[in-house]
Amino acid sequence: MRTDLGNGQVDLLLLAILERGPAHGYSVISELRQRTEGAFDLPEGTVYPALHRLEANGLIASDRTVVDGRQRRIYSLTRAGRQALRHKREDWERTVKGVHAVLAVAR
Amino acid sequence: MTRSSRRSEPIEDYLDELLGCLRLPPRATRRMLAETEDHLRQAAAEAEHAGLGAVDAERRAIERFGSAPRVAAAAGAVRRPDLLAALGVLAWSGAMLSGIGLVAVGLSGGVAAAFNLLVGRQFVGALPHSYGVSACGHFLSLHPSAPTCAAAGVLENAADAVSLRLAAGVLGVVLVGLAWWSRRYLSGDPSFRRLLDASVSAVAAAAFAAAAVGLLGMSVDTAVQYGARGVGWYLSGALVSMAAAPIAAALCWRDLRVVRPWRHAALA
Repeated sequence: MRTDLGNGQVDLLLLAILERGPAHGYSVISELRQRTEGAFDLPEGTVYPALHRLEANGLIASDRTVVDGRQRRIYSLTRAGRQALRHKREDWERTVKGVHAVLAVAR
Repeated sequence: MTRSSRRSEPIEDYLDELLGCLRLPPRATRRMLAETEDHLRQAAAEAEHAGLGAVDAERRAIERFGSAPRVAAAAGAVRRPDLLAALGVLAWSGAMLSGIGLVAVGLSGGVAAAFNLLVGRQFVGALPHSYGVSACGHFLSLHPSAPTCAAAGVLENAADAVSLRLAAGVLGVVLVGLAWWSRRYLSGDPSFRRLLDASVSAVAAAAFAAAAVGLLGMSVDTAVQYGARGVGWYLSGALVSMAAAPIAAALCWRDLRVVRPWRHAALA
């Protein structure tokens, strides 16, 4: 199980999860674990600072709500976030293609 | 609350520990704690639903969430200041300190004016100098009614002690005003601003204390060597510094009391 993702990879994953629709932090983390089948198992608490950073950069927005008497933040993708996700996805696919090409030759 | 009941509330204990670790502004701290609690309660509820006991469910939720120092470090890493912001803060501090210093110089000009009025111009202006021909010509051209070059020098020094210092004071007020107005462009973090204010006050207190000691020493030295002649030149600055140092120290203490780190209260 990888726990050493860089900020760029974490941002890409979080933006991709929020692309499906608004969600709060716990849902985002659960979705991340489910979709990756546990391949990326970050300490859950470290995802919240990443979400706050994305919000500070304008890529996601949050709304406060109250559930079971507790404050909850629901995060959603902004237009800038969708654009950033598109660019990050393209960068990632280029990187993966390049790595595959090198590994294929190395074999 | 007893120690045994404290051990049975892992999420509450974790939130206390996280609060102690976080070094964020108050609003960001409250947000982080609120989201952490919501997350841990939901995770614990699901674990309990899956069959775990209440306390074990909370401990498992905390284990998956990550240690408080690690989570706080991740939160702190988000807020690393950049070089430009740091330089801006340095420039702001320099402007504020310079302004405060110049205002103090201006106030000492007021004290010098009071000395001129109450004690006589010799008290401020009769500095133990000898003047060259060109200086004498300059003084006498400004004060043609003075009987001697030395007398003209006293009048000019006494006037300069007031006018030049008051001009410095006006410049200082402008600098302080500009620095105050530009505070809005510094970090919006209230804790940071408090720390910045405390730092400026601390430096000002130290500088004023050093100036008070130095100027008082020069006043005493002048008095011992030359009597009352020219003592006021230094004493006017010493008096303002002696008043400003404790004021700056009190302001520093007030700001530091707000910024001081959280301390857990020991539970019996």
